[in-house]
Amino acid sequence: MHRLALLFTLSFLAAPGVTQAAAQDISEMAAGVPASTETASEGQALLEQAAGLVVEDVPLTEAIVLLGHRAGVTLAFSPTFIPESLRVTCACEALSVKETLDQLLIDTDLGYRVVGNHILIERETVRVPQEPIVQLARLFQPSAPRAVDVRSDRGALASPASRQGTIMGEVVDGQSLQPIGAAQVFVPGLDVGTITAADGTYQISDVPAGTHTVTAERIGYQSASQEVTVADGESVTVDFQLTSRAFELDELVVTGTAGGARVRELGTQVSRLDASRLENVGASRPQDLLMGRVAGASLNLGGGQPGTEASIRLRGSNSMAMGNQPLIYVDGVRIYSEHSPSGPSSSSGTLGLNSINPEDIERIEIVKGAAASTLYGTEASGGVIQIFTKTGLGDPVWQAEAGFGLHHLGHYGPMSGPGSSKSENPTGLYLNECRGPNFVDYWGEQVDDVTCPDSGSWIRNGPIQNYSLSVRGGAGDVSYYLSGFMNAEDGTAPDSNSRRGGFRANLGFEPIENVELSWNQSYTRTINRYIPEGGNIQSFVGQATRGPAITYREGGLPAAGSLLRSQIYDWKDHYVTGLTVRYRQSERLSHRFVGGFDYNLLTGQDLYEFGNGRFPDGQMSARDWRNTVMSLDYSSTLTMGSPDGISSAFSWGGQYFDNNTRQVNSSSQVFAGPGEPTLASGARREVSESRQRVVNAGLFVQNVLGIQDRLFVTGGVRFDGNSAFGSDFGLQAYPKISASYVVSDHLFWPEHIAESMRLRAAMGESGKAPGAFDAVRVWNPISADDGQPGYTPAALGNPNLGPERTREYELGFESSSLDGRLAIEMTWFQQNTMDALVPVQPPPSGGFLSSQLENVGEVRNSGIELTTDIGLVRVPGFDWSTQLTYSTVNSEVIDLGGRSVSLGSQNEAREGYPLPVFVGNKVMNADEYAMPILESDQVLGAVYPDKRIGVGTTVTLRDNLTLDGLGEFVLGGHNMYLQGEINARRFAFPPCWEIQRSFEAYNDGDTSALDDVTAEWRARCGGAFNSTWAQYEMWTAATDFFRLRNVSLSYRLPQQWIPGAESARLMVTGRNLLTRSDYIGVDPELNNNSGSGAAQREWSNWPSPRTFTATMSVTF
Amino acid sequence: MKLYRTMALALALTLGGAVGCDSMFEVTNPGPMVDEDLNNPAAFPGLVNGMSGDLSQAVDNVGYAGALLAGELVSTGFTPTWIAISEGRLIPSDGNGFWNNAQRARWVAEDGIRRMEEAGYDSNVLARAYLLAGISNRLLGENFCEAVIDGGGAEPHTVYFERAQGHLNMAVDVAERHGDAQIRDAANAALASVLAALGNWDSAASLAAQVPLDHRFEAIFSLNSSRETSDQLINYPLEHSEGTVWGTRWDTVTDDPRVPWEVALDPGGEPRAGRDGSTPWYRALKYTSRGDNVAMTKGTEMHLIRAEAALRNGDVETMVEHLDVVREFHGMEPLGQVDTDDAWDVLMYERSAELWLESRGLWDRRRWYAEGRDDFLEGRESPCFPVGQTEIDTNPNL
Repeated sequence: MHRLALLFTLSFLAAPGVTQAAAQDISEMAAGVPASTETASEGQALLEQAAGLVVEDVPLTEAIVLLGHRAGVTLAFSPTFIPESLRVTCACEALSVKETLDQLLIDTDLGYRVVGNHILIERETVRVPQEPIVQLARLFQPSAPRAVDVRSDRGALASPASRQGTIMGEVVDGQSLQPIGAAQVFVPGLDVGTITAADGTYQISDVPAGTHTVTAERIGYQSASQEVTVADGESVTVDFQLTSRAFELDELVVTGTAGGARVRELGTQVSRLDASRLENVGASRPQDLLMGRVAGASLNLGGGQPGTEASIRLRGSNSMAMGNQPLIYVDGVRIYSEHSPSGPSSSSGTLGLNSINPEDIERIEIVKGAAASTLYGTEASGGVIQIFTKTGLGDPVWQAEAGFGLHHLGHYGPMSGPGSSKSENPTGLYLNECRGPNFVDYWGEQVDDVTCPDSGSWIRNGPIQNYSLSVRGGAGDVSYYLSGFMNAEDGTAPDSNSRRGGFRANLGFEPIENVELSWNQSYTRTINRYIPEGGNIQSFVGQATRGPAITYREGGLPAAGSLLRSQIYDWKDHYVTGLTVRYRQSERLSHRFVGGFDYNLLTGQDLYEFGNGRFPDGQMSARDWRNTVMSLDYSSTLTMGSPDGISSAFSWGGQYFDNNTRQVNSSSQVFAGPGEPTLASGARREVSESRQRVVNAGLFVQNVLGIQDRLFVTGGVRFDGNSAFGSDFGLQAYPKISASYVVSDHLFWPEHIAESMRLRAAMGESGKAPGAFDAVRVWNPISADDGQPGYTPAALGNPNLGPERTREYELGFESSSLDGRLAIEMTWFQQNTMDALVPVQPPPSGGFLSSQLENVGEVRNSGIELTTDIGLVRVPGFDWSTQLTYSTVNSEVIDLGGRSVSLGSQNEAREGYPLPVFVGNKVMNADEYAMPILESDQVLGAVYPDKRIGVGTTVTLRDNLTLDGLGEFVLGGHNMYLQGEINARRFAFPPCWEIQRSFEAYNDGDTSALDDVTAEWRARCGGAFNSTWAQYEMWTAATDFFRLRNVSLSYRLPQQWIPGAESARLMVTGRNLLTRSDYIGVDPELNNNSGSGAAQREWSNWPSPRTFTATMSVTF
Repeated sequence: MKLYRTMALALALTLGGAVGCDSMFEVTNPGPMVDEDLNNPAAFPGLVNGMSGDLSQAVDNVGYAGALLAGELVSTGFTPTWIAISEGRLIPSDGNGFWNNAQRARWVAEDGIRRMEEAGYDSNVLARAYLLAGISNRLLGENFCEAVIDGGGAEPHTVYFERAQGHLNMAVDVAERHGDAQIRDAANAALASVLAALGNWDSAASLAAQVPLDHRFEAIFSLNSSRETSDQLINYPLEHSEGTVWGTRWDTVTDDPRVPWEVALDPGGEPRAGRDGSTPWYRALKYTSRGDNVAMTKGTEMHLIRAEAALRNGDVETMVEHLDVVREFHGMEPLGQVDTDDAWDVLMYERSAELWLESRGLWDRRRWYAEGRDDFLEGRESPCFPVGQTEIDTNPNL
């Protein structure tokens, strides 16, 4: 009978790769021919593949067919066994095939088992129990009748007379304490169980009285078990907190793949941050989520005013001229990835990434180098960050969140060396105190700043408010996620603040069979107000830190506040919309199309009011910057398979990006008098405009060859064109090849050493296009001869100009051992950037003074990235885990054609050195107690750190109290503290005063006065006495530091405290709490060149404050 | 089969779309002018305006540093480069900006002339281009130690004068052909100064006699836009307190209208210090606005040339006559009797005062020092501007 049924099955093979031969195998086995020697682990691997299935109220047959397609497994079944009227709902995107089948078949008399490379669905009466199957399908044994209604997620097992008690409870994330839906909870010894509802609750009825072990499992989490004693006729509560696993082989990854792939198929590393891991960060912007959490990723903050946005580097800098910011995608739509332009008085532009509400983020995927970003082609050599926002499912779930906190700066001054203690620097370089007995100049004269605030300090605490509200759900063929947020922060500097607000609407439809549409859109308005800081000697920070010696005075008295009579604003509107269409043409052929539009409008204003200190007649400058990115992205995948375990996924597609930027700068000077001016108010006005359009388009083909679902070889190539390429330059080809080998899927693998082990290797290329005008010889229109139009040379042009090309090699492995308590992920990489775009200065006697890009350089970055997750203690009521990350980036400029390239700020690219390095005069006898001996044109140190060590730990007590902390050691970098040099030679830098007085004594004849001052500090503080020492580079120093980036304490409130709510959580977070460093400046991470360039230095930046927030989150 | 047909179709559409849309990469961005478009005669007036703008920037830039090197001003700033220049020390790496601006002014003018000649263009616009090319070469010749032309090797700085002579002769011819007296006079005046620089004093004096006393051709500055505004030559000693008259030969001269200055005072009436907080700031008042023009040729200079030519011929009386013409032009008393022994000092003073802060002073110091008449440059490392370090680093012929 069952042989007949199996033969009938042949015409209903519902998955990719099923052929007649495959069916023949099944047929032969059913006929008593020995099946292939399938092992338990191989069968388990098949069942544990990611299902990727989301269906709602569809016929069971359709669901099974879809499951085969989505999971890439072969499912064989007879339609005669499938109840025609049975419709199912399954939110099984994150479940395994086994878990999904358990759900789908729960109301049937069907079971399943692994046969060869396939999964056979059959009536349970025909099943021949086999040990592997018993192990794999332990949840429900064949004989166990089932009555669980998966659609209600609260079903109970049928009740034989022997089962008398009930087990109920809740499953939550061990770190975030958020409910975990769709988790399996079962009693292994009895083979009874259920699936948790969306709110994490479950109930297992009819459990025999006695002591049992209850287990909870969920893909992406470590399973957990507890002993429980069930009394006859009573209920017992068993709650679980599951610990997320560091990596999961069958998780789906989209970024860097053609339409998505399981982790096990990727030959490259893809870092992934899930919402559950991000909830304890207390982030106000997405950049806070990335800080210190991804090995190989570094974020460099320009300063500490609200709205200051970081530059992001993945595996260091490999471009001298074209920026190193990674590409940013949101839900498949490319957005503008660079910083928007900053105003003349602010140090940082805004980043499109940060207009996203962190609460909207479902997960972040990060590919760090060319090996993984090949399919993105030109412009992707800096890596790719893709943000996925939340989608809806099931019953409506509302989440409301309110947070309050403050920014606090503390004592301001050098971190190390003279003046680093409060006693040596009582006024905090005149910022903590701007009046009083300590407010004295070098000669001891006390004179208050007449504009000093009533508090007596320029530094204040800045309040923070965060509010957000979201709802997600779905019905029928429609799903939705809607959210809105508001964020208001005041800075620790006077008048600085940031206001952000926006909304998101993510909608999903399935208008016709096999076609899915998702339409995501978001709008955010950001308003930042800055004080003048960074990179300017006339800034508030640059001047106020001179105290009584300030240049700006009123009535002859210090008046730093006169510089605050300014209104420096950025208003930014950011709108992103994207339409994604997925068409499943057949079980084996699918298409995906994404159309996206990213719109940025920034209006900036720097207004110095009439009567201000810097521009007494008043001055106003404004900029209107608009950028749009239109993206079209199409890809298709054809999957094939064979019965001997060979599979193939052939993908092809193309992308088109059209980037338009328009900027209008205008200025107005000399106002007639006080009042609120406009640009028309000034007697002198000026305007300039630039418009740039860059088109980038490419095609790719790729094939993933799979063998036994454990070895995957991927080969592909992308062809790219770009409007910025030279006229003599054609399409560029970027190849890639990679392999992934899940060696632990073999029988021989010693699982007692590691439960899973994956090896991977990859090589790939991507590029970076030159700028819009770099290939063409052009002249700039100018105004000359008293307002007459004219031209002046702009760019020499290079018709042979092409992209710089980065080739990356990557090797690595991931392993999980000690029952998931130890997860290790390690990657070695080497990036060679060839034909690097180097700004080459032509001889000025040829008339063109600007550098011209040429493809003449080579840069190499190499390093390792190590991530370990360690479960230190896991006992009921107490869970302690730690995460260690270690990453290195060893950068070297290999070839510049024998030249050095200045990158500004005394940062240079030099052959044989990291990119970039500080150069200049160097004190050769730095540590000697002698007069400085200087050598010119010396390399002073690498600008960027080459080592980062992150230490994170999470402790959970009594299932509802979680302490999370993250610290980071950052080693190998240098920075230049310009403020020290500039003020010291004006006798306006108190930390130098003792040394400077020693100089005076020395010059007066006391030859021993400087005996305890090293040559290095004599040079730093002695610029006022010897002009050859008055050099910025004397203040270059190592920045090695440790920073406690984040500590949070969250408490899941008892449900009865918040009536009507499903859950509630209170979280207290501190960020940037502690920094230890021997750096001589104020903050080792400050940088007034924040942006996409390679250069940096610290000059009058307002430092990053400590941030404390308390947040209440309620789900209902 | 249907599946593969669909796949083939999709693939073909993808590839075909890409191949067929090759023109998608042909993007024209507005704003900057493509080089070839400047060959259009309609663009020539704008091209020449640009020459003038670039020359004004060079005059502003070289003029201020030249004023420091020639002792017309003293730096009061903290910037090590300006301090060093003020002390007579200008190294190539500090000299990039001056070299670059001056070279651009020369190259732009000569490149523009090439375009116009190739187009067969002939108008007073061309005459102005020749004039600007001549003056930009003169600026280089007077201030820089060596000549480098279009990436070539190093040559004596007199090469600039020779090129200037050729351009200015053409300027005179074309201007006369088109009846542009202003350009003609300016070209004659510039040519006279160049001939003098080449030691041909008689020809210089003869040519100078053809230029009206009130003639003036200027580097144009304006408050119209930031690029047209003087950033250094006028700004530093007038508004920015970076340069001061204090410490120069002029800080005791209070009665010469050609060298006006004042002690800068703060709102409390106290004398102000310069940027360094200690050096007295004596504001130069020759210019009253950053938008004031700076003379490049003047009729008064022609009398100075004629005066010096006379003196070189031993004719002190004629020298005084010409100097008095200049003084009278400024409303000053005549010099009166000048002894032969004092004649050179008188001439040097008069010329230095007349050409103060006009980017000309360093050349006078150079040539008089070479003739042993002026010892200001004695012991100073940089009697002239060096070739910029960038040129040294990038020019394979150096």
